[in-house]
Amino acid sequence: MLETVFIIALLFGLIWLAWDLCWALFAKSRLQMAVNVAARAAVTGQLEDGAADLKSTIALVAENAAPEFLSAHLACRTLNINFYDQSGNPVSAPVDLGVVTVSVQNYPFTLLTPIFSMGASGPSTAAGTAASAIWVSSSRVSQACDPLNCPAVGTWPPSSCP
Amino acid sequence: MIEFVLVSGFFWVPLIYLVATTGFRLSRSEELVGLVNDVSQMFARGVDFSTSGNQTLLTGTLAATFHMQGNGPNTVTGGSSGDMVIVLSQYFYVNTADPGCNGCTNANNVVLERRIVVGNASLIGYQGSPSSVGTIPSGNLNTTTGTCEPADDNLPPSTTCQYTVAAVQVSSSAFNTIMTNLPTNGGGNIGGTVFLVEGYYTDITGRMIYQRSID
Repeated sequence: MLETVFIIALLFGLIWLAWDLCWALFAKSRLQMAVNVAARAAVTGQLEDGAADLKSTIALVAENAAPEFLSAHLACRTLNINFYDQSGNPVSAPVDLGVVTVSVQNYPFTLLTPIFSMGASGPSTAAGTAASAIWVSSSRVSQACDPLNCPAVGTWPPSSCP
Repeated sequence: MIEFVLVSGFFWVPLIYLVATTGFRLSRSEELVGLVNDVSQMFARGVDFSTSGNQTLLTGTLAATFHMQGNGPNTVTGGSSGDMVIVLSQYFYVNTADPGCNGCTNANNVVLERRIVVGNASLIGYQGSPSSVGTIPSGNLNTTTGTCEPADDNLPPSTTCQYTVAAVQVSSSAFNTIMTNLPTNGGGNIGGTVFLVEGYYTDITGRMIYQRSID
């Protein structure tokens, strides 16, 4: 009887571990894909329907690419958009041969296994305390916008998050 | 109880360890693929990773989760600490019809015309991972830009060392381990250029993850 209990505990541990690893990999790959798509959108210098400026466009593209993970609420808190010049110095707008980086930092990730997510000390979310955080990033070479059709860069994150 | 200890020790615990480490390595591999692809296309598009600003961008932002250390004073030859190194190489096929060649020493050869190492250089070739193909001998290395031309800080294609320095030639058999049929642009008058970025990372288990990208 005792052996059965121990074996079942280990078996559940293994199942939960595989479950959480799959969940973490899925979340990470979705977020990675979202920042990749957003970084590619960033270098086009075109605005998305419904976005007032370039940074809002980048955020909107990222949100639309992984809506199940990157809600407007979470995007506002975890999505970072930065531009750098040719020497790697931060700048306020894309420049020719500079770099644009789109990253999700400190994304609150809650493990599915209840035993691991209880009492965790990760970042806080509306859903509670997360067990760990995900960081993903994507970068592209930027180019200055067409002077005849240059969208406003805007600010990100906005002054108030939903 | 004996059976439980035996089954746990030889089956369950190793299985759980294997699943956990495989998962962590898979996650890191995926991250490394993205990073190397990003750096590769940036390098090919002209971002100069020999400058300290762009190296800081690489180590501090793009590869922030990899515990990558900067080069310090060794601008293009790498440092000796950290869990990761990125090797950026620029190969060039010297076409005989290239006006810059004109019967030069390296005609009809692939040459390594630029190499920049960022991070822990001792990880290159570690644990059976492939070593970067080709070398620029220290006497021919520009330690500021990573090109094979120490005389000035010009960047390819404004350099001439790719035509004249035989030591930077890469044998066909060695280059074929990267790719075969480098575009020689036989119909034009210049050769083809390949930008190769390699990432070497030792994960939480101390084992190597290697990834490369060609542009």
